[in-house]
Amino acid sequence: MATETALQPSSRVASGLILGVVGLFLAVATGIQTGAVDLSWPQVWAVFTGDSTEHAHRVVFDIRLPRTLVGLLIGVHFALSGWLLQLLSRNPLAEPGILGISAGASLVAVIAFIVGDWVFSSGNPYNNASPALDYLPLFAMTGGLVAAVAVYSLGLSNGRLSPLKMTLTGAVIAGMLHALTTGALAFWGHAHTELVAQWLAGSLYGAKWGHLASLLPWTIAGLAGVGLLLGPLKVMQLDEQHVQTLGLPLNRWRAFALLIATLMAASAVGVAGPVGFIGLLIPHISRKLAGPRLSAQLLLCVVLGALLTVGADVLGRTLFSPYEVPVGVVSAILGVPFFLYLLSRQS
Amino acid sequence: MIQTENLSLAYGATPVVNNVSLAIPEGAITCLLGPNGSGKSTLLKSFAGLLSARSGRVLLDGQPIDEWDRQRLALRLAMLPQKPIVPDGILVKDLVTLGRFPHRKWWQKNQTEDNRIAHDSMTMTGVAELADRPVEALSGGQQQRVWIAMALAQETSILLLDEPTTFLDWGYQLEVLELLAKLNREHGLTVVMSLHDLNQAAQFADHIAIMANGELQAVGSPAEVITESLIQRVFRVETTVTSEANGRPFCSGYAAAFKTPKIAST
Amino acid sequence: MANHPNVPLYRAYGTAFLILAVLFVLGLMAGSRWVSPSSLWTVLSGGGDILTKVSVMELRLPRNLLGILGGAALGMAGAVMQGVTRNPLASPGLTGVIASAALAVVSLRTLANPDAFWLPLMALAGGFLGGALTFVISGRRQLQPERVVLAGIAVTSLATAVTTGLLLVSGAEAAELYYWLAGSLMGRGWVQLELVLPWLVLPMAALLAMHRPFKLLQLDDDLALAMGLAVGRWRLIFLLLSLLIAAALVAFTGPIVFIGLVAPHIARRMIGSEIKHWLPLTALLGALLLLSADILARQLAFPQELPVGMLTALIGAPWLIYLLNTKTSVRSA
Repeated sequence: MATETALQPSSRVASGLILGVVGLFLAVATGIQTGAVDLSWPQVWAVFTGDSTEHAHRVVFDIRLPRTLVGLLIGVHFALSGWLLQLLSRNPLAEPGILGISAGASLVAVIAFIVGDWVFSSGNPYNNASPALDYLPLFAMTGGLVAAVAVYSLGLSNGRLSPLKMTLTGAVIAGMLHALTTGALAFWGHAHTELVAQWLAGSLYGAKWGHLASLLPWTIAGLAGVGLLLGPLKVMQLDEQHVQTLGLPLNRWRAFALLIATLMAASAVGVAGPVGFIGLLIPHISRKLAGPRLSAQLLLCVVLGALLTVGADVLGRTLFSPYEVPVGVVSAILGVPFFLYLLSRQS
Repeated sequence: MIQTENLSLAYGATPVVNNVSLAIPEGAITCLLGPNGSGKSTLLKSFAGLLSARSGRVLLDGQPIDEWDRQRLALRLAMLPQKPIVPDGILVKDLVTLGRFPHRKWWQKNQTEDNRIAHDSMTMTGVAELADRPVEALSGGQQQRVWIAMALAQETSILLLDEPTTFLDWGYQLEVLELLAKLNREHGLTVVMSLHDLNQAAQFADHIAIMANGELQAVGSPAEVITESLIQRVFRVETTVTSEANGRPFCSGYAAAFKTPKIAST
Repeated sequence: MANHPNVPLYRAYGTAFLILAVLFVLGLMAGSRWVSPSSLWTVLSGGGDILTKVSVMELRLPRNLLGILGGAALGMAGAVMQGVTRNPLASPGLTGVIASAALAVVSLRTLANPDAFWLPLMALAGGFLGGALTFVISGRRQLQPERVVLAGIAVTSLATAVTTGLLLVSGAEAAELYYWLAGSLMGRGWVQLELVLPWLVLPMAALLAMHRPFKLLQLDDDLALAMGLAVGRWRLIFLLLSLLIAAALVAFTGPIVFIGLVAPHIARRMIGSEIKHWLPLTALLGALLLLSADILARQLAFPQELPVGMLTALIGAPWLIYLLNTKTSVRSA
């Protein structure tokens, strides 16, 4: 099987990329066309050429296009975060959800929401536009970082990273943070419980241009960070001590990789809630297709992550219409069997 | 060259190496010998600057090792851990090229010179024809030669190896040791390694240091160090040491526990 | 990690009983209205004003009893799981049982509006499916601790994701369900206690009575077989009983995690390998933990109440991490 990857990796990467981009285009187009209001393909085309009804224009530009684009970015964020975490910890089960990073981001975001609501709109229950909402990605990142640092440092044994211990510690911390989030929401969520619950399910519902704007800087920063990391990551796959004798300041680079992975995951959580398993699935598929070449894996992660998320969102919107299945639920249903499959293959 | 002065090392509160003063000769093959847990691997790691001393110090070219910049150190010495991790699916040539890492700034790509040197080191270790194979698919002996090729690509004058033969079949063990002897002979590479087998050390080393309970027991040429009384003391094994045609000692022994005169008298 | 009995048996039991009794009295006094010892005595002997009487007899007494019973049940469920799978990390929470039981209850309450009578049955079905899934995935023969937990994590996250999705559909009831999902003993009275009682007491009595096969199941499978024990069948019986009590409890209190993990470990530390006394002492300690967590939950954020599930998670998670750091088999990469 290993020789199989060695045979024609580049043609596989190319076909994977082409199929991924075509699929992504189709998914985005479907995402724009389908929804509560029926739009025919000619109508969609008309919107982009400029001669459509006001209504169709609104539906596409104010609702569906931003939502689809936010989904696309979210997918890139979670996929790259998972990819970095798996490389960093040499652990195929690593993922922002399983390692507790998303849970930390969620908890702090929920607390910020509750506190912000209490500070800014007390006395006026109808005022929903809490300023805390605008800073949600920042709060989420703080929480994600704290959780990531805790999981990482507890996952060390005798100064060496133990992948298994890191996964278990992450799971325990995720469980605790989840219980705290549920508790906080149940007791102080008041009228907003439903809104926050929606977000906690990992949903793109109501994603607007504003969300896209608050996410995009982090996408760019994250991609730049990943680019810087490409060279060192090659070496970091080796044994800890081996890496050091090659002259790489390991701790500094690990901290940087962890920082980038956390920023990407947590900023996405801040916008769309904790969407799990994309960070698990996509890096694996990319590795399978690309073989050991990191740059090829990276490209595939970006394209396939976006494809999976936009696709899962379209699926969630159409499957039980008029009900919407949040994208987080769809990705969990797809991802859990995969996780179990990986687990069963680990000796 | 490497030198230790009253070096003591510890893992947390557990002392492992105690008050060792030792000089490693340049351009020679030095073997660290000793029973399990004697501190030989720990000592080797301290040569690579991977452990900080509890007391005393390690000097490389007269400068304390913890004052060396990591990258400069990586140009002076390479180290092969006991059980190195093979990155998933990596090809032989890509792994060997990783040895060029310290020669470039971290954002630079490999240059033709790097690829040439990687190729040369694969030729030297006899794995050039395996260049496009995944490392995982190779035999233990081939893998070990690939790792050595990677260390050679680092172009250092000192190579440290932590028990390079432990997980290999006997034939592969000799293959690896002969390769190291050749590299030492032809390129003047300084080799420092920990070994388990007394006779292999006696055959291949120019210089032997014997450790027990974290303390240095003896240092010198194989003929000076490998003696019946010392082996009895360190390994608790009765041996007969004979001299080979090439002047190197050879010992055959059996565990002392099975040869106690008391049993015979009762 | 040899298990040396650190504490003599009588002292272990004695201390646990004493603290439990003190907590019980404290639980009757604590609440939104503090009842002094003297007025508590008046109420218990049949007197007192109506308000105090109601809050002590109708609110706090059944709630205390549920706390004791529930804690004991969770502790025992954890000990049985840990014992028969010889896995120090097994517990209703980490094997996905609690999350699956919660999912079953949430789906029933979202999709239908059932009588409370059906809740334990539904929770049981869900918990059983979740637990079975975890154990099947992690390999029937070799139940390696880490693999069981990883499989449990996967089952838990799936159940949690679907639960969250359902909450979005449940509309007006979402807030109430959320509250329930946080795990709490608040507002549970005689009615709930009566409903859950048979589901807990009968299996617990059965488990205590079966301590001989339980002891054999601690051994190597082949050894137990050689002693004439039908290992597979007995293990299944024990696992089913432990699932039963954990799931039934979840139906009424909501998910309360970590007690089933922590209580058995403390008990083992106290009395070592005295298997015969492990289950009863674990039950006592579980009761003690849940009751004290509940009293804290009532008092900490007074006048509001915290969900007790939040507190047990806060206490349990650090303990588990400590456990991961001391257990040698987890350490190797």
